[in-house]
Amino acid sequence: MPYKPLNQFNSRDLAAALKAGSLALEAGAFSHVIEGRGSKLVEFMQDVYRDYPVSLYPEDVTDNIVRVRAPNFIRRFIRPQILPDPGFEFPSVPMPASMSPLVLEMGLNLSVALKTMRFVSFHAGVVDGPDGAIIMSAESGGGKSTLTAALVEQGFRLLSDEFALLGLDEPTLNAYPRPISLKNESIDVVRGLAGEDWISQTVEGSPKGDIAYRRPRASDIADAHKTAKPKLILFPFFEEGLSPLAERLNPAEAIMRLIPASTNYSMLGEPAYRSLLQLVLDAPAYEVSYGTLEDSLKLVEDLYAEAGGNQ
Amino acid sequence: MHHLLEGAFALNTMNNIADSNDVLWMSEGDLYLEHVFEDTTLVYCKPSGDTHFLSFLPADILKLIEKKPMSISALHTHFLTEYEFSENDLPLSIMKDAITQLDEIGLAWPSAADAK
Repeated sequence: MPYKPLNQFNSRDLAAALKAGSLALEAGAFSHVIEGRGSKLVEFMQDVYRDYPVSLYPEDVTDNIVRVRAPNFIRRFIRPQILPDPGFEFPSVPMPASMSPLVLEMGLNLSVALKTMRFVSFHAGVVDGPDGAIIMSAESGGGKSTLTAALVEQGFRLLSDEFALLGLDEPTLNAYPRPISLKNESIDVVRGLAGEDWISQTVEGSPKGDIAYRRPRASDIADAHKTAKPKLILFPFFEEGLSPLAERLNPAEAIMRLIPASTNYSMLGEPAYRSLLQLVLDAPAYEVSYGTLEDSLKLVEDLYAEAGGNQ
Repeated sequence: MHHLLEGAFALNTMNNIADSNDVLWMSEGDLYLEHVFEDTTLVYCKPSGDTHFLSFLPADILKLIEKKPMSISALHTHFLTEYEFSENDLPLSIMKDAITQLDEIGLAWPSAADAK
């Protein structure tokens, strides 16, 4: 069956394909088969994945299968629980069935983080501008997703909020545009920038607090086959009250920070080293700290211009 | 318990090797990739798949023992002469530490002659 935007299918057919484990979703560099049950999951996909190409009964090979399933038979019915099953053993704490959006996103992230061999993958937000891409690698809570979402509002193309996917033969960035994961205070910040229609319903009380997702634009999904040339590497750090500061990093320092952020560096070995080395030689790297979103955008604007990009 | 003793013995043996000034140390350039950034060297070790930062001393030691196996005392003498360091600037213990570090990350090892 051919791929069509998800919003061209009705709820009943989507639910049936999800239950049968035959819904294939294309998101840039990856295609996933998704299996799961429940109206909450269907509603979430109809909202946040509405513009993604899907096939309900795919004939092509896909990259992986992600299941949103109950931890055991009893938990399908009594106080229902679910966990992400990316197709391999992974320790997961079961969550209430109402958190199926979060569990689906976790499952997709796990499958890409731990099964990708075509690219060097590392935890980062990536956007592409007129003169090249900006990579933002930060630990959870560092403000990466808020900054990524804010740059998208400024016209940058979303490559990914979660993974930088660097080619092994040449250091170009591949797109994997998925919904931007927003936590707690950042939900309202991005809602204010993007508008209510672009933000999913909030999943409340998750282990990471309240979570909502900023839906990618249709153009980001349609352009996901386009690679991008790295222009700037940022290691952002947000803390309320911090004065804006940018500190240039030696390329060796930059690579030593990217390696721990990579999910497959040690598995890929030498090609991953060569590719990351070329990346840090091509694109200047900065540690940027800031206390407000406005400060972070000004810093990025200045550094992007300095790196030779026009914002 | 046996394994613990074995591990302790291996560690002790390694320290003894690095303590010995007579052992010849060697390396092979084919086993790693390096890129020099100003005062530091980035090294990718092919057998382990690990990436390391080296300061100038271990990086220079690698270059030397790659050409021919050298003892710690010979390396020490070389650096004292080459860089006009005094014994205070570069005590022998620093040289031993550098060799121990290179040994631990798999970039230097005693030459086969010494292994016998």
